[in-house]
Amino acid sequence: MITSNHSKTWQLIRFLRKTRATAAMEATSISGEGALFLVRWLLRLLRTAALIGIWNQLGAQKLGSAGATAAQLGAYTVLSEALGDVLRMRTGMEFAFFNGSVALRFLRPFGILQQFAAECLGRAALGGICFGLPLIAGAALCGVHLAPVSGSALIWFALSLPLAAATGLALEYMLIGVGTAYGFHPYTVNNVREAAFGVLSGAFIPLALLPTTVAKVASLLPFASQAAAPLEIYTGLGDPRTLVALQLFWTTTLWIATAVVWRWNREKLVLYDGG
Amino acid sequence: MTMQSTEMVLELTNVTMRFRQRQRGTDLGSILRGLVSPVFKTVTALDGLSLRVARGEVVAYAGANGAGKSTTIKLCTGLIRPETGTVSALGLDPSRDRVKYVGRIGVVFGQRSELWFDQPVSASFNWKRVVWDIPDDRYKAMEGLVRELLGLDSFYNTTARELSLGQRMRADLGLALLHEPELLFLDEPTLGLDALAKKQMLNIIKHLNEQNNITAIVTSHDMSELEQLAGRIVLMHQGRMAFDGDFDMLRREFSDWRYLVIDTPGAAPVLNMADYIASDGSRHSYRFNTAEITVAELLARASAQQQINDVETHRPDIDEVIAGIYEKWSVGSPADQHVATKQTETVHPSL
Amino acid sequence: MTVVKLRKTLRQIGRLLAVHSMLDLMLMTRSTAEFWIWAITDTIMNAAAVAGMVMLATRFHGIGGWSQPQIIFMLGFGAFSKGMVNLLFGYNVSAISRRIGRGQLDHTLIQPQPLWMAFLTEGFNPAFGLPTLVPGGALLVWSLAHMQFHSGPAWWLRFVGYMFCSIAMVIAFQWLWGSTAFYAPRAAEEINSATSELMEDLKTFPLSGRSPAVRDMLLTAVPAGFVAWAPCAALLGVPGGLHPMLAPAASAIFCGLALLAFHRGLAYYQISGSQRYSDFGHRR
Repeated sequence: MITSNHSKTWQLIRFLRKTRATAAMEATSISGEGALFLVRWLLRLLRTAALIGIWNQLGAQKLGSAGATAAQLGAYTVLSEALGDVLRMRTGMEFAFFNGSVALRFLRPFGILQQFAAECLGRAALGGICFGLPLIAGAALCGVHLAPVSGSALIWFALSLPLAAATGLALEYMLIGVGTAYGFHPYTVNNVREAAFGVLSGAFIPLALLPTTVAKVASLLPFASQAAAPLEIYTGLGDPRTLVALQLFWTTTLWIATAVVWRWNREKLVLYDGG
Repeated sequence: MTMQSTEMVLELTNVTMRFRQRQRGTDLGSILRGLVSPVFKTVTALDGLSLRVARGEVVAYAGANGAGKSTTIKLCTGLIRPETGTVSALGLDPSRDRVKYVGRIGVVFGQRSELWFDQPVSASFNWKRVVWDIPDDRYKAMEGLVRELLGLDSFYNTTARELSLGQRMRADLGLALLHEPELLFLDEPTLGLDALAKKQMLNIIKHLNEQNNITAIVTSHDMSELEQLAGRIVLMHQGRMAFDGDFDMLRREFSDWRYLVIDTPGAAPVLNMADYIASDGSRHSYRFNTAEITVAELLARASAQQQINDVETHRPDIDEVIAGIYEKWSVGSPADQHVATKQTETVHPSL
Repeated sequence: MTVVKLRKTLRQIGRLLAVHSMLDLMLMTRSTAEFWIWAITDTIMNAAAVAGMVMLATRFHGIGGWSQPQIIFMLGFGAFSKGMVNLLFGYNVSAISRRIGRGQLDHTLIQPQPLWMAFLTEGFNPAFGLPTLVPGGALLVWSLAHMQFHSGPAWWLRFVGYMFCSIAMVIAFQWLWGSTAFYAPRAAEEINSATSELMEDLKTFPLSGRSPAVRDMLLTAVPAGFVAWAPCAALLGVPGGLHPMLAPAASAIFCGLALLAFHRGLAYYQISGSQRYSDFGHRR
């Protein structure tokens, strides 16, 4: 028993080490050619400023009719951009399948999905350090009210954020699993995902500001669990219990679906060599 | 190989190319330091290279990995400019007169493809006809020739992505030849190809050299293939020309080794100054160094022990010679003194 | 340039456009199913880029002094401009950082034609590009039908002129940033995805009534205001717009800057070469 526990602990330690090493490789690959990689975030900073501008422009009366204030939306946008790499998990796996480089990954003693997840983690860590934290600090200094709506909201947010990441990753793996197995071009998979995410996730324009019926439907979809849920909890734009319950539902369902898709299509996925 | 003239089609004069390579540590501290104050190493890819190629020559351009072969091809095709020195080809500056120049040369990179991946080979050929503005009659003639000599007919209407490596390379070479280039650059053109595909590729280059007096510069690691094709070999080492001559000269200069095969009725004679290799029935093989002993002396020693029925001597094959040269260079033998050592320096740019 | 030379150049451009149309058509007919998936997803993507703002304008009956049809006209203009970019500058001509970062510029450099001619024609993909014009076209038609507005031939001529400036601005912005891939091929390979996405997001914002800081930023650092807002304000006569000649002037300036950046980058590339090569996306 002791041996077994030791063995499991050791396996976990090895898994974490592999994850850390892979994440570090990804982060340092991006930052390896000087400070140019910061440009991507600089551009996102401009988008943040533009969005906050538009919330102010809409005016208190219009926003009030949607049950929001400019301050809430400002915090929502800042957090959405600061946590962008977590809320919008992108593995690039579809391209790895397409160009055949995924074959090399099968030769590593590390699960395929874990490898891509570790890379996402590396990018998210780099994004958090180089962009997220400075953005939050800068926004606070510029007068954006970033405190959570309540203490309990912060706890719910802490619970919701990992669930959002898990939902995003499951959604990513499932879409790519289906797309690749059916031989879709990676850009097709990418286009479908980006279009759906852009409109329905609430990462860019909060769902509360969309027409009521659209907002209601979108809030029930997994894209909202992936991005809008933790942001709505933090800023008080949604009910934490309902949102977290929905996230739990989607995370569980999507991971089960992902496992089924990958098992069912394993042969196709492995044989897909980009040719 | 035929109809060589004294007209130089390619001249590199005292060309130096250096590249900066970023140096990075793996710990967080050095990564962050690297963002503020990056450290670079300068690598000399070509170090004062001078090379002249006459019209009609087929030149084998060889060297170990990192010797500067691909850099030379990039320079000669105008993709990059020399840091110092000059490059002139077909009377033009490859980089400055790019449009005029590339219309007269053909390039095949073994690791890259000019074919349109999702289109049939024929579509890429037709595309080339328009972009290179090839007159219809010349296009038809060359299309027919390359289809025949490279055996493209069986997959001419097949999508490029569905071709085997050998088929793709043959199609790529055909594409490069369509506009009847005067000067052909082939960078590792037969990498990974089977014997038939190689033969077809070598044959068409020979054919065009003999018929059209095309000049070709071929890089490859396959020395026997280069020997079949080229009359001249330029051997690069660490950015400098280590040898320029024909293959026999190369053997003479770099290899004193010979093989001796003797046929005797009895056991293999014991020859102290030669390495015994193996016996095949009555035939016994030895390797010896001509600097230490001559064939006549060895035969005299052998005949003193056994009756000799037959004798053969031969030089080592070119791959063996080249491997020996690379080995010598890699351990810094005296041969290394004839060539430049790779210059490196560390600079901290004021970024 | 003599008349003969000009005629020859135009003829060659025509031939190149024809051959690239044919290649695009062949790609489309290779798999009809795949074509429709491409066409539909590209169209959805283009529609999705403006959908958020359309819904915002619908929910709040306009934004920042612009009525709902006016906002939708602006979004339609932006989406149509994006569709034209897709149609004319596909195959990573617009997303030039990918070609540079992946070392694929070598393929273009060994073609015996000026680079401008290659880039002007290589990205032409009428079969795949046309459907992406649909969302923009539909929004323009809808908004014009819902505005009390008379559009005569002179107005349409101005529309075409502003559309040309808008396309030029998008390409210039892409190339300006894309040229950084000459210096950092790995880090900047996908920079045009970021710049394109940013432009897509920001071009949908009406700048009327914005704080001067945000407005100036969207007319300089990221000139998204010149892609749809400024031309549409001029075309529709919405108060608070810019001088009508400012959008064409800004496009010209940004095109000049982009060309300068590209040429400087290319000069660097010709000294340093590309140490990186990936065939990904090349002619696929």
